[in-house]
Amino acid sequence: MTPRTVTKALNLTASSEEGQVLPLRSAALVMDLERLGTLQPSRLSFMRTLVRRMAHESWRIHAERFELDENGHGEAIYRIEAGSERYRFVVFSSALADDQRNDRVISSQWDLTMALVQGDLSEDQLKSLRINVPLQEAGRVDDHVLVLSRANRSSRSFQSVVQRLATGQQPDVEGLKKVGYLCRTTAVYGSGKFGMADWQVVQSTCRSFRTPFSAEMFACYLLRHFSCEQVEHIAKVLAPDRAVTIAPEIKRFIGIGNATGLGMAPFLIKHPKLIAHWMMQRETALARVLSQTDCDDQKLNCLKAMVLQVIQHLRETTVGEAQQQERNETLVMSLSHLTEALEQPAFDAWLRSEGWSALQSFVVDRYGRDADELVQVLLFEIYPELVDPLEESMAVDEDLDLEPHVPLAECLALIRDHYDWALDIDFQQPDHRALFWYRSEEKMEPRLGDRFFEMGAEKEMPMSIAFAVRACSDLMESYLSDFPDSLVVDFLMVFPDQLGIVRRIQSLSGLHYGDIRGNLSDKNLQPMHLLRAKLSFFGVGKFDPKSRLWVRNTMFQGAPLVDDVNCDRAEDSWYFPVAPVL
Amino acid sequence: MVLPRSAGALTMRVSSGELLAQLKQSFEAFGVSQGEYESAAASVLALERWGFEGLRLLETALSRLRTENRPAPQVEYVLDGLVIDCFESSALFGLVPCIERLYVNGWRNAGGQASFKNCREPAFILPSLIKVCERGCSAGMYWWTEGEVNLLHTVRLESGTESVRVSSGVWASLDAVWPDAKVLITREEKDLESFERDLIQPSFELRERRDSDEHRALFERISKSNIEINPWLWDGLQELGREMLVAGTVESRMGAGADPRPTEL
Repeated sequence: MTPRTVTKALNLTASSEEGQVLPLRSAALVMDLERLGTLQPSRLSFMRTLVRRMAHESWRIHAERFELDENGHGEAIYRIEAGSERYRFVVFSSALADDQRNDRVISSQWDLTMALVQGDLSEDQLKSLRINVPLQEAGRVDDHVLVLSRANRSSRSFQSVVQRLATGQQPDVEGLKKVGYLCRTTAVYGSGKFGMADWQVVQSTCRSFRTPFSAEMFACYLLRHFSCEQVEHIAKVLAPDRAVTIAPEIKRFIGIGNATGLGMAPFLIKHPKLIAHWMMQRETALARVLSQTDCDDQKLNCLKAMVLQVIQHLRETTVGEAQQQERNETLVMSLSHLTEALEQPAFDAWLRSEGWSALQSFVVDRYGRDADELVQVLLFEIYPELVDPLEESMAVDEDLDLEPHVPLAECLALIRDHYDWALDIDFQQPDHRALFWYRSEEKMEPRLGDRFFEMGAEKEMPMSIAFAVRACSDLMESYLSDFPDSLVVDFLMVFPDQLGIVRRIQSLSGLHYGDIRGNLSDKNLQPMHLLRAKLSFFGVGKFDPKSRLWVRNTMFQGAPLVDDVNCDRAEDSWYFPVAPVL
Repeated sequence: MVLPRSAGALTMRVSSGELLAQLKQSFEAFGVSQGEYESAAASVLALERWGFEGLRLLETALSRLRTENRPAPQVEYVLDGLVIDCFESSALFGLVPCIERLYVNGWRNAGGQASFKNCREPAFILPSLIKVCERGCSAGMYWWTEGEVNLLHTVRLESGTESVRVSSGVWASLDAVWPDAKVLITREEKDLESFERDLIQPSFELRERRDSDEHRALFERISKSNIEINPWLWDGLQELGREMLVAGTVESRMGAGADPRPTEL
């Protein structure tokens, strides 16, 4: 019997479309927490992937029921035909006092609640949804439901857009630049929560939503559509003779808002293989693109146009937090300088002879990480044929397993090799252990506490991988000094409480990117980096941190409309959207 | 008024994902380590999926598990394998390293045996065995339940090309039973056959048999739909899990970041 072995020396390479071996960036660089906080949405982001799929497969979306009163309250049901599959999107719209409108997950009332349901909808199912969907976490649904979500009207934009439409005017584009949406979702649940279908079931039975988070993203996409139909409806009731509908160009510029807090962070730690895999796909795309040397007129012009668009996008992005505002301004300066460089004949000639990898080196050296990550995703746009095939490989088996037969000394060497970043942290220093993550009794909301001043540290969530690795490494070292020839299983027989971290270390050892490299209990932790990393994979834009713990952002701004999809004219060019000029 | 989710219902259905998450959180409240509660939660779910009534077993054990003293199992190395004394504790917790030990012995010595003494709910060992068999070995597990008729449970796990093949039998006997659960890990399936031949006496009466196709079909069916659970068990698990939650205060609300005032006003 030969034990299965997954631990192997890392071979940091990816394959080109033709199977050519390409170098990948190091895990130390890619998985660094601060670097993850610079990630940008890309062609591989789930929103982009979803819209491409809707277009390629000619999805059809129509309102089956749209019964709203003069205030926009009531219910709507949309029928979705996606190839041979059928889904329904059900929205319940209720009255909510302005002072009850809150982004927090602990809220219990919302303007809108909604569900994405597989198949046809019987009256009994609808009755059950009417009771349970508005309750959100306090309700129960069945496994025909794929997504449960809720949203609030934007106090900044919803009513003003209604008023303008009712007086025959288009929405104020300047106002939309600042807000970017009519409604803002505060939670999107899927993956089996509250009785919904498990992700594995969705993956295997719903071809349309076979890639991670595509069902959740689709619910947000249809919420965007509903929010536009809702304001148009209210305006029409207010002024049947004068009201106008939103011009398509402006409608495309309306996204759906999102408010995200710490609730998103534990996912990144609980799903290490998935996150490492997503990074691997993204880095493979980068390696493929950087290996190209065909910097011709068409591609260079395309890059220049995109850089100018990003500059305008950033200038139109309203950010309240000073640090993010400064980052955006620096990025605008960097990109402006890059634009000038791209126009210089010498630079142009150099780029044509050296290829895109030279551009990347130039951007990193001159402008730093934010610009580096941004230019990368722009290069992705130039080579859809190299990048897009990777979108079908975003799911992965997340099972973690042990290799008990491995010599313990080998396992310790592996820790020293892969987790040197964790071993470098001095956890004796109080600041490096200052924070703890916990679940609140209020809707189990994940929160951060100060270990030395707040109650609850004994109920700490296992988020600090660095600390766990350090503790495990110390125990291994001590055990090996007494039993130098021991195996991993010998160690676990004596220290069974190390089972979880050893299983994680061994399971990730064969992956290129492994764990996120950061101390999540450090006093100066910026959880925003975690949120930004995950949100970039979703594909959100207009990243607007409201503190270091939560962020407002915009989804699907610039994306094709439902009408575009229904008419087979949905274009895949809605990156970094800019305001329309009418 | 919003009633508790399960109030008044005779049965309810939960997804595998939420069951697993709830089990982890509930078991965490027992004070066991992360690796242990993750393994235990996966074990209950795996038993349920493979048709071995993991939730029913948990239901009967839950109240005892809450107060159970769980000394570390004591492992004795004997000539033909291991003897593991569980001191009347449930097999749900603490035995993963022992199974891994047995697995390592098995591949080193072309096979390994273990007896689990004083072990409650020995069926919870099965998922760990399935896990090691996914690495390419085969295993058998055998245990008795006492009643008016004593029942011998036999489970065979064979390494397949894509997944482990699970088959099982239940045999009735009026004869005396032995108290230990026995486990054999081997690379040769014929070892399992000879082990079972010695074990199953001619007087035993076959009560139930499920071949690997039946178990696989059960697995597929249960994996593709929500799982039925006794609402009282679900409520009990939730109550346990709440012990891992920290009380909400004004300070703690700030620890989630957002301004507690209504947004955008």
